[in-house]
Amino acid sequence: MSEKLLDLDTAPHTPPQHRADPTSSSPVVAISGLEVKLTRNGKTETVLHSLDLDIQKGEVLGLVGQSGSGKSVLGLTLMGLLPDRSRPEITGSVSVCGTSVIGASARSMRNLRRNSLGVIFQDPMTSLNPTMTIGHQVLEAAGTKAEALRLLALAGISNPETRYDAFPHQLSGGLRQRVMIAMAVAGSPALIIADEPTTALDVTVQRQVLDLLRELKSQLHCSVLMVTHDLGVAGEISDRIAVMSAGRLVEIGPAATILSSPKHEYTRALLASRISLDTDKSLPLPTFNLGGDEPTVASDEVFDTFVQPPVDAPLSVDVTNVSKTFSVRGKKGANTLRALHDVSLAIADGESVAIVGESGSGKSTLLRIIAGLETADAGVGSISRMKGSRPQMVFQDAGASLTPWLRVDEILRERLVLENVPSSEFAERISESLALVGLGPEILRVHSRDLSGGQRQRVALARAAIVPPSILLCDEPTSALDAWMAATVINLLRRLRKRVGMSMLFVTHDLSVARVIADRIVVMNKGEIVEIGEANQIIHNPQNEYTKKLVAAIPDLTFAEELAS
Amino acid sequence: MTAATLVPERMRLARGLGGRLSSEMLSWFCIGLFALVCLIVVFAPLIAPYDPIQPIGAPYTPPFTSKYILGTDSIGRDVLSRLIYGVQSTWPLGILVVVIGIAIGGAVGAIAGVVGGWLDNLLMRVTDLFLALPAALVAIAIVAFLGPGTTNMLIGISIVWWPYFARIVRGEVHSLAARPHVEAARMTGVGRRRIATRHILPGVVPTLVVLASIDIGSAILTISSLSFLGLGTPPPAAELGADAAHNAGFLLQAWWVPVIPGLGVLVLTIVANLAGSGVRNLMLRR
Repeated sequence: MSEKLLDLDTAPHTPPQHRADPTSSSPVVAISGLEVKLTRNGKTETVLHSLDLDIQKGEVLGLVGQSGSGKSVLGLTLMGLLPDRSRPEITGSVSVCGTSVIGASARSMRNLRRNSLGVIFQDPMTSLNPTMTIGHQVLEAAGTKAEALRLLALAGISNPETRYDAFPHQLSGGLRQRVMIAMAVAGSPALIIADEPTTALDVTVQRQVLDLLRELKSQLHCSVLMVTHDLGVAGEISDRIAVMSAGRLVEIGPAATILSSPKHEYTRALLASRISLDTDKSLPLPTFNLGGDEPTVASDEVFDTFVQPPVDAPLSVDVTNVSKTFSVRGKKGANTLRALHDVSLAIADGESVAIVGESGSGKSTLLRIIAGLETADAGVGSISRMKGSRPQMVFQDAGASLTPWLRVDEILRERLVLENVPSSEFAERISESLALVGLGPEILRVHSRDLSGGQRQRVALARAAIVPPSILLCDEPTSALDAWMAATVINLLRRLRKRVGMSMLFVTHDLSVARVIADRIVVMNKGEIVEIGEANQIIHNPQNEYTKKLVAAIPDLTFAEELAS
Repeated sequence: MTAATLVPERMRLARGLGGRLSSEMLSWFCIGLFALVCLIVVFAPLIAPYDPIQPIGAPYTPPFTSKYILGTDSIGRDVLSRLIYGVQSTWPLGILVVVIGIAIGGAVGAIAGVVGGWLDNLLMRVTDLFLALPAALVAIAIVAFLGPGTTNMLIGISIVWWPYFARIVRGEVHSLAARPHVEAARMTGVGRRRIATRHILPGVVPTLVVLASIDIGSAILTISSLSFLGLGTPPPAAELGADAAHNAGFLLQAWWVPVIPGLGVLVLTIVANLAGSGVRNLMLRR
């Protein structure tokens, strides 16, 4: 480590060499026979297997795969930034812009990163220094203030002069990602590595960032390695798509071909598991078990595509004229932030409703008020308890919703005790609920902190289902999961609803998920409900301008199919 | 097949030495030192070669010149034996101060954090009051008021020792209370008391263990300071701080008499701090 730090300032600033020969046809990245072994928790695993891959000059390569497929490891290998503590062992050959990465000295890797590489990370908030103005940070990469301003403007930041002195926390997520992009394109790098650059962004902002990347690519003639789990995102800007699974490259080809006629079964599975606006609502979502430990859900179930509650159905949730403001302490004293303004919503018994909206739309606040975790400033929110037990909630981070030091059986029992279930029924109820979510009884003895991510999701669902709740409140339960897990969780939720007949309120930013899971969709914007309607009608025939914008922003594969045909 | 790595040979070697496994062993080694001192405390009468109170040889015998390995003091008592008994009196006191501090501070912080409202305000303002006072001076004042002696010193230091723990515990309780698992417990219908005892307080324990283990060193330092000022057990009892103070005047003639108990304090503090870091490293790894 010390060696890396020592000659930080003394390293000569060699001019970029890739610009010398623009007509050169040699690939920017040439990987052959790459094998990477990493040591985690004392176990050495081969994370990348005999990988061959080229990225041509000016090409955008989409690298797609599930989490754990090794796609991020590949990006880190190219940058020479694999963490020392996982003791990387790399064999094969990797050359980036003519520099052989394997066995390169710390100094030559640094020069390579400085002169030829640009990086965009998933979360611009954690990748930007919170104590430095964004201007200062771009200046570090750009060299001169004029160049920094030019880059900020290039990245689509309006009024770069005034924004120059802003700190990261003063910018929205989309603007922050633009700052990252401005830093990445500084010095016109030969290759930009973008690791899930739009995953943390709202759909409309994601759309803008994708447009920007496509525009920059044509202006700067640089190559881009676009690492993403979303085939839709990859399809939007990639020339070619490479699909990775379990550390192997399973398929590579022109984007349109991969999306329209995939050859490998994994790619087909990846495509099929993608929840789109045309997914069949009546069937369980396809889940594929390719080497994972997650059991699949029986596929012979049929779900109702739309439940029209009778007009006189009792209400499960009745919210009238609810408002909520938060006070935010800023530089200029306390500001108030209007989270909800005069919102009314009624959910009939047995109905499933999804609330969609972008971050800051107030959808989570509404859910938390209904759950009783937050109190409204004005208006009434009530949950009927006449049927079944108290409401249950599935949190975005299901793992964090389980008390880490309790065992699974303690967690499940606690709820049984509180719902006054006779103790003679405990064993039966517990084994039933575990079977419902596809877990074995051996999990009961495990502390929840030792469960895997997927197991935690299931235990959280089992806790909610062990006594059927009057209503199940879900706060973005799928947004942190990749397509497979999301599909599994959605199937479980729908199965639960079918078995138990409970109502459901589902908060999500993903319209495709909302359509599959809900009978009705509520669209929220800036603390107000802008449109309520039957799910398919909202998606395929939106009335409100904002809803139209949301629907249009969803990355879709249909254009790729058009291209191919 | 040519095996090559991104890391130069020299760094790989350093990583091997300072890697995960050896760092874990180092932590256990430090905790082992702590245990060793505890053994010395328990078996002091067996280890000490002579009686620490009675003169047994010529005064001012220098170290390593006679059968009195670390020499003798102004009235001919064995310095090594006094060192061992000094450790025996100081070490448990340091641990006890921290245990009492945790008991009081932990209780105050837990009650303030869990109950909240006016009680939280009251307890925390009292805590602030204690934190605002210079701890060592207040401890000295209390002991001076109660009179010198081990018990009074323990009382004096304990009174100023807890506010720090109260602060930390309250903060931990607040941060745990905002976690989703507590909200999930609320949604399940768990009562306030049970949320506190089952879903919040067990999470504070690891933090407390780490803090306590790191704090023992500074407790020992404070105890020795008070003892140095003559507020500990009166002579002729063997105490590290007092022994260093009584013989400070002979520093030029017989340096070993005041320096050796001083070094004893230094070593005890270092051992306590190393063990604290060891405990922290091992707990963080979990």
